[in-house]
Amino acid sequence: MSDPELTPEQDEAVRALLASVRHTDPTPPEVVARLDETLASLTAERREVPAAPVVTLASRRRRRVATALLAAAAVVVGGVGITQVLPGLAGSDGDSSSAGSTAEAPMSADDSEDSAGGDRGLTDQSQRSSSADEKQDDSERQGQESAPLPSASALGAGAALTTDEPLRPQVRAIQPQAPFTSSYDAGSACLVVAQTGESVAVTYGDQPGVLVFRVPDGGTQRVDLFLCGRPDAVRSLRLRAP
Amino acid sequence: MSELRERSDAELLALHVDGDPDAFGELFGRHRDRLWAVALRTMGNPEDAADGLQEGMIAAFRRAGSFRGDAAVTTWLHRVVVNSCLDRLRAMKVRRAEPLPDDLEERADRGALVSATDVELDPAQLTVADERRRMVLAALRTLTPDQRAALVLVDMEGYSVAEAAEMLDVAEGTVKSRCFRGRAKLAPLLGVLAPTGGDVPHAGNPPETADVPTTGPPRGPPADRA
Repeated sequence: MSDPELTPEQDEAVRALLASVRHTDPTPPEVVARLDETLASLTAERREVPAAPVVTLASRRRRRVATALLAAAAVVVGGVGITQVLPGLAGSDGDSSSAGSTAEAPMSADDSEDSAGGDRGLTDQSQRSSSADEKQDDSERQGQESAPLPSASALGAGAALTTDEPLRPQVRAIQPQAPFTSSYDAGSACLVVAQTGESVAVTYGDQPGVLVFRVPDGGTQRVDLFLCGRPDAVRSLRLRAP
Repeated sequence: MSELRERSDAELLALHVDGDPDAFGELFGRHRDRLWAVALRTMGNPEDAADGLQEGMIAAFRRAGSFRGDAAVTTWLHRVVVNSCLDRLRAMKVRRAEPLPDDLEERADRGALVSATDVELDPAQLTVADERRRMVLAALRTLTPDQRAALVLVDMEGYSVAEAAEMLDVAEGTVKSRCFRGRAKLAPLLGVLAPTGGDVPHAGNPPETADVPTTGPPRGPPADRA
């Protein structure tokens, strides 16, 4: 049933009745108290949670690019580090002492120039460091160079390397210099996952791991790289048996 | 000009957005009573009205930054509160089976059955006014929430159709339509359509005469009602 059509008088009568029941009393005290309490909690909540700093999209993009670059650098450094201990991939040059000191990995002709000049391939900023620091670095480098490291060029000597004998002292030299040795007990944690064979603690990128030299079999020797906490080898290769 | 001049609503809202801890309380306090009236008439009872008003206040507090300034702050506050009330009503889906007058008990506690403007009425008149109030409020409950909100804003609170349209966030024509349909639905319930001698009927109640007993309970039915 449709609503009746009201005459103007009837319409006005309804409006008058509605206006007569308009609420004019103030808000009841209990409601006021409740609102005040809610408002106080809202204000307190606002004080406790200050507005989060606005992160612009541009800065977020920059941060993402920086993170990606950092990750790429870690992969490169890790790759260089592993080639230093795996002769099938690469050798090592005389200026680089360990996989742990990855920043010293030889990468270019510029680096060799720096090396000839007594510097260690540092950035411009680090080149401006104090002479005392340089002396300390030199003494550290001398100490590292005292280890019997192979002198072959990293990429050039890889193909000529026929045995891992020169590699073994190098790998052993890594162990005491590895950055995690003071805070991370590779001997107790990583050896849990180590397989049969000779295990040597290494770092792969910035992750601690174990290099396992398997028992030679049929003229070759398999070498597996395990990262701590991971049951499977992340890298493997075969060397000519010693 | 005095340095203690009252800050405008817009200034208070801007201060609140900027972190002033007291500005919103001052702003809401200014309009609280009228917002309460709208919430009470829209919701139909004090409990739900308090809930609706509280939710509206919280929403306004948190969404103050979204105020664009293209309407008055009071209009925006009404919009937030009315929307909170309507949301509650839609969620409740009219669960109550028996409509009750929304504020009669509250008034009885305070010794007044009608608004403060009726203090000069004698008990008989108070009884009639009370009955009329009951009837109007009960009839109001039969409307849809949207129709009720439109009538509360336009016919009860006296806002213009344009203002109500802003508060309800609908077109002016929509407000007019809701008011028209709402009044048409209320008219028979209020006795407006009853045949009379020509004058506008008075909500179906008997004419106010001195015959109404004055010794009975103030909330009893009229004695001469057939």
